[in-house]
Amino acid sequence: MIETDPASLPELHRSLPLRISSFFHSHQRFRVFVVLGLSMLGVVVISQLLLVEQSLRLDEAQSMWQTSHSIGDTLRVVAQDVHVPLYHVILHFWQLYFGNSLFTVRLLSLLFLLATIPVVYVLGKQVLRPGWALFAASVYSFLPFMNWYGNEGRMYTLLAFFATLSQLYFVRIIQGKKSWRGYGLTAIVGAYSHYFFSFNLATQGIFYLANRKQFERGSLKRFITVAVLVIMSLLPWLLYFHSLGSGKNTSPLLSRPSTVDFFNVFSQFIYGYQDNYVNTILVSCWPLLVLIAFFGIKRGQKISLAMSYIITAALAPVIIAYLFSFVVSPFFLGRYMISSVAPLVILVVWLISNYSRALSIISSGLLVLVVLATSVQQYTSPNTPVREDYHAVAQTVSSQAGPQDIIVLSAPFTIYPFEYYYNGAAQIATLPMWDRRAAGAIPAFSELTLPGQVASINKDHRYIYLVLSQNQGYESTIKQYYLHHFKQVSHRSYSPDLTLYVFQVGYYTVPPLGAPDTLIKPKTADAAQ
Amino acid sequence: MSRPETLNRSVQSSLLPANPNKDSRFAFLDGYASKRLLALNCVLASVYFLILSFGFQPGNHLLFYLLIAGEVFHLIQIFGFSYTIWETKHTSSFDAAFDVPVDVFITVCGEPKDIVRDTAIAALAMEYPSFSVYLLNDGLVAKRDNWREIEDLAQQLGITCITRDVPGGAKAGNINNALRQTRSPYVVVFDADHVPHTDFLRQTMGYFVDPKMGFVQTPQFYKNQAVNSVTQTAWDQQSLFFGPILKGKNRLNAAFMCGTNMVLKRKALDQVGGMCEFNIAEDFLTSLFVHDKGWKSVYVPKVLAEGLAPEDFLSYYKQQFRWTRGSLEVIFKYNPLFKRGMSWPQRLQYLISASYFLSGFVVVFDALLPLFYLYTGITAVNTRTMALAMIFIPYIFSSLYTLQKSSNYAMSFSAIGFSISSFVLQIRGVVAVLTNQKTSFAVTSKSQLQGNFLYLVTPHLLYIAAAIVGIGVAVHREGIGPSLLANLAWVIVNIAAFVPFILAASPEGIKSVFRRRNSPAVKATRQ
Repeated sequence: MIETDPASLPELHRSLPLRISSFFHSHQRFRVFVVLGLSMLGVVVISQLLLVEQSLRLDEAQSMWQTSHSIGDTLRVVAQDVHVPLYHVILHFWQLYFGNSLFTVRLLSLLFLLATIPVVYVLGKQVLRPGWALFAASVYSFLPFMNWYGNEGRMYTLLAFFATLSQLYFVRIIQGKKSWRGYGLTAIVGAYSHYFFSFNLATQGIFYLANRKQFERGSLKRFITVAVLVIMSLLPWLLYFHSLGSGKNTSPLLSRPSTVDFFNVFSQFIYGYQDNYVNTILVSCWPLLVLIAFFGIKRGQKISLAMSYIITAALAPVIIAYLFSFVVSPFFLGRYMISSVAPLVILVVWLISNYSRALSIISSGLLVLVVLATSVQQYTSPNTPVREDYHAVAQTVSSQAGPQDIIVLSAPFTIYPFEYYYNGAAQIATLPMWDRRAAGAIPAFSELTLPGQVASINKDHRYIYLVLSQNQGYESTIKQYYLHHFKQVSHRSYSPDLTLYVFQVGYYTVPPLGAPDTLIKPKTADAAQ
Repeated sequence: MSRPETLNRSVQSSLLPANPNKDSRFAFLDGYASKRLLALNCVLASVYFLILSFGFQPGNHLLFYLLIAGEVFHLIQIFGFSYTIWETKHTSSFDAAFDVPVDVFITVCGEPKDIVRDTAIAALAMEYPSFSVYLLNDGLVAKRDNWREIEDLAQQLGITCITRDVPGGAKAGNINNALRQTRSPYVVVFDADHVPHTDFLRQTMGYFVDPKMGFVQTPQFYKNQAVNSVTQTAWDQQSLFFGPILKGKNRLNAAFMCGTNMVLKRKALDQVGGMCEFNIAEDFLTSLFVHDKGWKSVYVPKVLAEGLAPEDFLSYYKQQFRWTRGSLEVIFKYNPLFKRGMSWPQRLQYLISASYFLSGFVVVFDALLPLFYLYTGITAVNTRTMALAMIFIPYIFSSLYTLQKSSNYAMSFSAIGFSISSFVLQIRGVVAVLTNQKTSFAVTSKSQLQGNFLYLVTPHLLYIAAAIVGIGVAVHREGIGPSLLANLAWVIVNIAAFVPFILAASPEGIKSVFRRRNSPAVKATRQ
């Protein structure tokens, strides 16, 4: 059979499929545009169908509350919350112009995710063939981890955007292209996107020092200049932060990461947030990494300096964060290392692209399948660990609690997402008790003061609706106190870390309006605790 | 001596002096692993070993201590490898004007006439003032049909054919027989298929300006590497040895003979009684004896001759078994540690090279560990964390990277799979040495043998079967849990490593199913 080049056929004689095929082959840019466009469309569809309607989460409530102030006060509360202000400033003005609904707030994060996708493609193209770079960008678009933060009113996709852009400029510098201005500017602005953008810069610094001889002449002076500029531009903010007490009142309760946590982060990057069972399956298969490495061993397949950097960028921030969590303070959360996601995806695709043709097709298909399956699992499973369904719990309480009842929230700051949805008649209190209008941090929890605070809250009320979430280390104490002193009527979990308990504290024997013991299905095993 | 006029294309191309800087095929000679990388690899291997040994709760004590013993072996190999290639640049005295007469021996034992002809013509075309070419014809004593053709060929080319009529000593006996009938102070040995470049003698003889120089070895390059997966993998494995390893041994005066493409000083050979006839890896043991007598050696990292790799699995298997058996015999019967004439670095180098072939036991044990778990639930180590992954992954990745860097990215998954899967012939080799079994010297076939060689990979196939049954047993016993999944993943890793070896042994029909379409390796024809 004689093969004919489709492009050589007369226009009229070419079939439609041939013409389309030819068009795509001869229009590389169009193909890129279509694939990236479809990927971005996919992100929007996932957002609208699966994620945008999700309940407001605690951190999002924080963002909305913090940016609801004047710009000066926004800067102050953001500094006190140990954050750099770029995202909050943007969100502040964004809400001024587009409104402050949850949809609008999340849309901003979505836009940053969408903007990151072409950057991932261009970054991938520096070390991969264009087709594989497109594949990497598409995989990145559909990662459940990225889509989760693309639909959360927080700064993580902003961080991802600037980190990926910074990585792109750095790779271009490695390749001897003129990208110093872009790199410097990205470094300065990126440093204001999140404190952990510094992991990205630290990784680049380490990589540069280890491979200095392979960079162009004069690069050391330029890197020092960029470093000085970053420090100088961040200095005013750091001084302001220091003047406000250096965030002494803010101490997130995180434990030191385990070796499982270390691998979980990489698992989350690719597979998203999975419940314990699925996650255990995924992480237990770690020996397959050896196989992935074995398959990647290919004759003559050298690792370029740019690819070496991509590998470093995928791993080093996580390693640095892990070590810092032991040496300085525990802060090992996957989202803080979101800058590693794009390099990790490019690394995975690079490995696959080095396999034999059949194996690379199978591996690509498997990767897509796994990403889709874990996406579905993350979006639909009620046990997804990062799920926070304050909407549902607030709705339940709104419909059941009356003026004689009281709602008790712990941890206290969960009042923000709860209040966002709650429109019932019952009064809201927190444990430990917290007056939000008073200056200073949330009072520390004390077992000694707990009985007094509980008695004060319970006074003259029939039913206590105790909503426990965001465990700050005292959740169990509060729960046990109530279980030992009051009659539990019912309880229900709304998401993995969000449970509603209803206790009878008054002398009434009639169930409260709406009969919570029937609406809130008790779990006898748990209720016995 | 007039240059023959009719040369085939492959010989014509080889008549040009090799230029490693221009020919990408010779990139394996340019590998370089920095000392920093080697040190890091040793550190990561040590960390893995120490934490595994002292940081974990042993499970079954017998399995645990066997595991640790295997890791001690790995650690020694890694340190040995790093020590060998720590520095691969070394210069020896060289005088381009050194032009003492040389006898060029082409050993023949039934190889096709055309192949011998190409080698002989190329040998005749070498540029050097004074040398004689001999065909050492062992076809008669080996009862090969074409032994007369070789004599005819010698007559056609005007060179001397030395046909043995008294058998004994295999290839070494053949060379020794020729040594007795020739006089030049230096001898070059080429296998029948190793076509020398014109500058072979110019590039090698100058090293004998050092009066203590005993022999000069050059790479054993396979020009037919692209023919099929066996030739390619055989070459991938060779490239690591003839790249960084021999370059490193050169620094320590421990480069050894590799049977072909080498120049020997007659006096050195005479002192050790000629080529060693009582070991099937005659080159390895003869080198050891020559070094023990205080002679030096040099490895010239330039491709100066091009030969043929075994083209079928059976030939590859036999070749590897011969090397394995011969090397192991050195450990058990001529242990280099007790050779007082050699320096300690030389002794260590011989021991490291020979002991590599003991790794089969470690491979088997490591492969059986997950099977033990599947069948019994017994593990060597008890851990509920990912600490093992945390120390193992950096170690294995850095080891693979070091391999690639040092061989200038010449390794392949297939080569590693073959090395792992060779446990079967390594264990057979140990058994053969310990039980003093007779192993005949078989010349590696120069043409592809067709057939089903799956019987040679029976242990691998049994492993797969045992794994499948074991999975059923384990699932029945405990359901799907983290331990089962981790062990299952290890089983998959092991099986994947066996696959290239099994495929190479399988009949052509099965192989073709897995073969890549339009693969250059498939399209390539023997040059």
